Amino acid sequence: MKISDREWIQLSSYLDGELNPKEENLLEKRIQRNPELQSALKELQTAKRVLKLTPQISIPRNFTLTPAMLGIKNRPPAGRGYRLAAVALSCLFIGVVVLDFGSLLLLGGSFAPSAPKEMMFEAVSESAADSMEEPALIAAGEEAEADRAAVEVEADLTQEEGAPAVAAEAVEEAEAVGMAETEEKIYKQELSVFSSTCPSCVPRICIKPT
Amino acid sequence: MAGDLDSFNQIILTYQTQVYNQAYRIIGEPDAAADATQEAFISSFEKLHTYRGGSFKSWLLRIVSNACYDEYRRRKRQPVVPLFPESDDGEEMESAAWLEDTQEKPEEFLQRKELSQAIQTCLNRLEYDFRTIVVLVDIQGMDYSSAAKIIDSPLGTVKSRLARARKSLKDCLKGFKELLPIELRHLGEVS
Repeated sequence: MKISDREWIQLSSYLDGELNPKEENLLEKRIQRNPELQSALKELQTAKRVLKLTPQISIPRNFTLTPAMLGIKNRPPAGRGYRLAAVALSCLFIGVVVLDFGSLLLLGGSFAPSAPKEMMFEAVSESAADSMEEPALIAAGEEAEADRAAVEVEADLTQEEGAPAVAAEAVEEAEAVGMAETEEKIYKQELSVFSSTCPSCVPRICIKPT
Repeated sequence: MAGDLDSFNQIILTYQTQVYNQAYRIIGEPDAAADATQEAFISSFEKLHTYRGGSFKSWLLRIVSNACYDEYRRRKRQPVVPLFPESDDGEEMESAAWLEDTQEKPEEFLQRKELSQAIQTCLNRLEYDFRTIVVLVDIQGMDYSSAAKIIDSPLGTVKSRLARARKSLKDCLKGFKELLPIELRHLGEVS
């Protein structure tokens, strides 16, 4: 005879004295008549005793608190701080680059100084291009991803609300066109920066929007 | 504030072993258990004003159970580090350092370590909710009503989860019969 879930619960509760007197009395009579219930009870009892013998583990260190621990916990979330720092650094970098190029233009400096400086300038420009390029592309990519996700959520909601699937597709298509236009704009902006400030530099933008 | 912190640290020294053991047996991983334990004590200090009397241990275990759940979910989202690290032959590993007791004979230490490992292996195979309740009742010794308050569930839930956990554990422990104390090696034998 298979022991039911209810019987297992009763046996387990009986072990811990958690049955009321009436339930306990009825169960004891059934156990006396049923060898399978007797065996099951014995097994549960053994398992409980084994668990009671579970060795206690020594702590790896003391967990006492320091004022610093409590202070650290009260700081604003790392994500927000990181974003603020990233924005501040970006503004600083752009400011330095603009001032740098601007001062060169004002001084009427040529872009053909002595060779080492020129090479350094090209290297700097290229690395500046990389630096300028990556955040933008990554940002555009992230933005595109976020837009795509938002569109998908909107599409899901639209479909859930019973609106025709065609409307959701139209929304998605409009968003895709919008994203392509944004990427084209960024590409053209960056290209114009290079052409105006450093005609001899090779732009290092690898991905051209279609 | 300094005086309050000193007093609270005395409480931590009293309960930290129990709390860490609760965390370790639920999470099954020592570093995660240490993180959860630390989080729990920080949280309990900040929420001390919410303690309304009754069993302080129960109040503390409730906070550590919540911290364990948060840690468990966090580590489950980042599966780079296995939640239950395994050795090359696929057995779940356990650091032996914390079991050290310099007064123990080597064979006693080994026996205790193997038993602890066997129990943890079987606990790790339980679903999280079942594991939590069996650790609270059978390892920490909480009664049903205290356990129900700790996990914030009805008494019926405690009873059913505990029964299912014990049923699964007794089947698992049969595989480690030789590691059990002699008087308990009859597990699984039909009389």
